Amino acid sequence: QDMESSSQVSTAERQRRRQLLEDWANWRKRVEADLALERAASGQQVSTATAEDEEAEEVD
Amino acid sequence: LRPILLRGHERSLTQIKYNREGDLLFSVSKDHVINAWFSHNGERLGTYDGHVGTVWTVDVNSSTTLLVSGSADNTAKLWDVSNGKCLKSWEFNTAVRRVLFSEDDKKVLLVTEPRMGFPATLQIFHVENGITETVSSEPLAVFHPEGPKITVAAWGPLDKYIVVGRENGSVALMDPHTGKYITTNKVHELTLTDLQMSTDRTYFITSSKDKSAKILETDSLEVLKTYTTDTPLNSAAIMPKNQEFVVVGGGQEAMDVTRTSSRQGKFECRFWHKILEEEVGRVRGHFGPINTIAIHPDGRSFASGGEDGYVRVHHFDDDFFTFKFQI
Repeated sequence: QDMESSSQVSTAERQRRRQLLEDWANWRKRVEADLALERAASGQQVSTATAEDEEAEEVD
Repeated sequence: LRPILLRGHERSLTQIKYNREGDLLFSVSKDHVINAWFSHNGERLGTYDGHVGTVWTVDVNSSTTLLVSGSADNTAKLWDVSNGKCLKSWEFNTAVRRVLFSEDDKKVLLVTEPRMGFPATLQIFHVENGITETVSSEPLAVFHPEGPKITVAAWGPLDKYIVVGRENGSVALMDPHTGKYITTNKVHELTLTDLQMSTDRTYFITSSKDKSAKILETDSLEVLKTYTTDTPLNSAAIMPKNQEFVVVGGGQEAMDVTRTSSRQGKFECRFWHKILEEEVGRVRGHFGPINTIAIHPDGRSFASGGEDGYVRVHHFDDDFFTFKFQI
């Protein structure tokens, strides 16, 4: 029974952690999309992920 | 985790920063010296000589051409990274506590401290995006922010805000054109000691003497995560890649410590899972409080600067990258 209850607790804990990770991922998706729109609207280059490509272009 | 000890300072470290590529690490100290190091092997690239007081703060632009420093000698200086030449020295009435390049590298934000009848100021200077020797002596803007003293600051995404942290534990968003506060939120009990942005600046981490670090959403100043420790914190940093971790550090000042035993184990960099808010590990080594922490932009190494005068650079082992938090 101990085993059972402890495994139940850990299931609940696992669920809680999964939820935290999922919430964070969803929040990131929303914020990154908003920022991309703002960047486009302001006429600035897109996210830091593509900054290296742009630098490479400048070298050319 | 193999540490490299950087021995180039004779007094306590005040701030350290990686450049954007992460190949260089800049360190400033109470010994008036600015050092540049190769982060992979700890060899010194050079020094930037000119300050005659504690150097409180340093920042480097994203192309690693310009360095800016702020000092207790009441000056901020702009340096040519490659040859160590001082391009500009701006003079103020009081010490410069924080310097920061804007996201677009075109501006520098300076925070001067209040003292002897001089109010605290936030000043913005225009610097060319690249090497130049014709940088203006006159600020674009000078603000005299009301309310609690500003201890830390940063530029928000697209430079649309200045985010400040204050002595009363509050954070605030400021309009960089008017100097007016847009929002404030009292998130800590005691003074803010550090404020570092995430890579895209949509969130940031704060550290406080109240022994906690927090992650806040920039736009709303809403607290997203809290990391509570047992020691006053001086610095906190967000790992940009590889792991969803944050690193925090601090420790009691020697003068505040009554028992030797209580000193043990407090001078550690503590790793926390950023999202799950659980501590995952510690790295010890410093003989005094940790004053400043920086993480390599590729998440390959991190560095800490201590009250003990040392910078310790730690390169992560392979098992760090493969580590998976048990869900």
